[in-house]
Amino acid sequence: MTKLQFLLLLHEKLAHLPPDDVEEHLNFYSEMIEDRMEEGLSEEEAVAAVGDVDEIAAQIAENLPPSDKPAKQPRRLKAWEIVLLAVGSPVWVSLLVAAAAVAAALYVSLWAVIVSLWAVFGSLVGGGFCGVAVGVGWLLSPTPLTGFALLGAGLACVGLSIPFFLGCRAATVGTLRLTRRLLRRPATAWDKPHKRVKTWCIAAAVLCLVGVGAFLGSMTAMGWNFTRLSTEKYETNDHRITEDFKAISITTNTADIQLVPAEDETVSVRCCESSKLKHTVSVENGTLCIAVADTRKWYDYIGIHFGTPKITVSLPQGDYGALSITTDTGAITLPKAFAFQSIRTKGSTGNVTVLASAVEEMRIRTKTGNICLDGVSADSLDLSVSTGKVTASHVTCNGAVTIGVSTGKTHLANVRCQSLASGGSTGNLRLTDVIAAADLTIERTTGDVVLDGCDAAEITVITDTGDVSGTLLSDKVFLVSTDTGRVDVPKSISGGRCEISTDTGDVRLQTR
Amino acid sequence: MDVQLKRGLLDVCVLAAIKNEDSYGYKIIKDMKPYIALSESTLYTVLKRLEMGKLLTVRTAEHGGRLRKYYRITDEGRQRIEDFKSEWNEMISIYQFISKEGDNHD
Repeated sequence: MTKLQFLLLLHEKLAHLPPDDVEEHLNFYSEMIEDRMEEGLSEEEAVAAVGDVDEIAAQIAENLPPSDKPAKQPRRLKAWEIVLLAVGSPVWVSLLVAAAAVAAALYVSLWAVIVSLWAVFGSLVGGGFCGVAVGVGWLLSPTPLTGFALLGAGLACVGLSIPFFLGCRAATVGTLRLTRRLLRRPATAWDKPHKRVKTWCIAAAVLCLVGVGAFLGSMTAMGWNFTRLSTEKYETNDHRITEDFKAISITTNTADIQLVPAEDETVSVRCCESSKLKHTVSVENGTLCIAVADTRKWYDYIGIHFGTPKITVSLPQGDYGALSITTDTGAITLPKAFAFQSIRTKGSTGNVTVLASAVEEMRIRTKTGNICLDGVSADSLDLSVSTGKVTASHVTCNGAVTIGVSTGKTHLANVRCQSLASGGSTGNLRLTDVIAAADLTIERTTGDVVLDGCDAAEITVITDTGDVSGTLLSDKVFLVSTDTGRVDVPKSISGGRCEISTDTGDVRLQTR
Repeated sequence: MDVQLKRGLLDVCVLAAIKNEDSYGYKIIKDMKPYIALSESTLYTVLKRLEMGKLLTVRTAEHGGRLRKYYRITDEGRQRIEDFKSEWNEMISIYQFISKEGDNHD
């Protein structure tokens, strides 16, 4: 081996040491070799005399002072170890991947927790400041006590947000530190202002105490009657009507609408009104028109409201013409005392309870809210709900009944009609004693169908994952198709068609 | 020889090798060879230790077209040799004591 080869090899073996040490060692051994060559040895002999490179490297490692321990050199794998690793790789590789995934998921969830804590802080600060601002504004309004209460609550929220901020910051810093340590990067020293933390905590405590005190004080002043927090000031106005009319049309946005039979024979409409929310009540072309005149701006909506304003129409019992109600938010109640030529209601949010009957069509539409019918009759019935229940009992319809429910149960009891069509997405359907002269069509995505003592000339039921069960009052020829459900229907060859198709539901029907 | 014992001896031996005149790596090994075997890597460690302890100083000088490190003993180094010699006198009396006890029992 030449001197250069020796030095290069030694350099390789000492690669794990600090570069300065390595250079010193190389110089030292170079000198040793040169000295020996000066004595008269050849280059080969001098290199050999200095010693074996591996032994020298090992001795250097041994002789190092304890503080300078070099990194362990990776030992070469033996043959059987390589084979074992390869054979077992499906096991340990997948385990490793799973463990890494779990660790990553834990890390991400840690950050998710921190982010949600920051969100809480944000809402406390934001809400607190808004509460303080609005509360101060209300101190000058007709409801100063409410303003005071809101101001107190707002201050308490702001006070609470301060310890939250400190906690969030500590959590974030801690997690960042942990991340750096995991990535084996040096942790930077974060400045910890200790004294300032104390002042902030005292400020927070003061704000909280003042806020809570203000809130408690104003609530006590109101006798802890939470309804007195309402910032709306409605007055009820009675509109008296003396002209004759047949039809009724009500158009409003936020109001519960109720028709009541009048004790005397007069007609009056009682509305909740304020300076910016008024109603016009008049009779035009034989129709009683109640319309809302809403001049509220967006800032008028900032306030504490309890309950919905009401419109109560008081009329003598009897038959009337077409009833048309259009509302946004609010319940509709029609009692039994009245009968209309037709009933049409359209609402967004609010329950509809109809006990009155219609000669022609009854059409009720609402988005969110329950529809309840009891003891009504109509020529055609059309109910449509997005989210909510439909409950109808003792209903007689000369023509078609159409019920559409997106999410919600449908429960019909004692219904007689020409045809019944019920469609829906999610929600069970229960028909008890429902008889349709012609066809009964039911469509559901997810939702069980129970036909309890029902009948129709032709029955069609289509569901995706709901079960179909029940009893029918007459023989039917069953055509059942299901993908994975069980089928238990009588095998009769006489009677009307009963076609049932489901994807995964069970079908169990009997005929009396 | 016991490793720990040898380590202590080597330090003083190397100092003794450079006591009278400056010396360099290979010469120190040659001078110590009749008395105690010393490998290059061990010498390196000893020289480093003595340099850290300020028992010797290092200078680099030119020799025959290349650089060579020369080692010179310091006053502390000389003191170390003296300390060792007086310690060793103690060792001799203890050795005589140990040997005498053993002999009596034979």
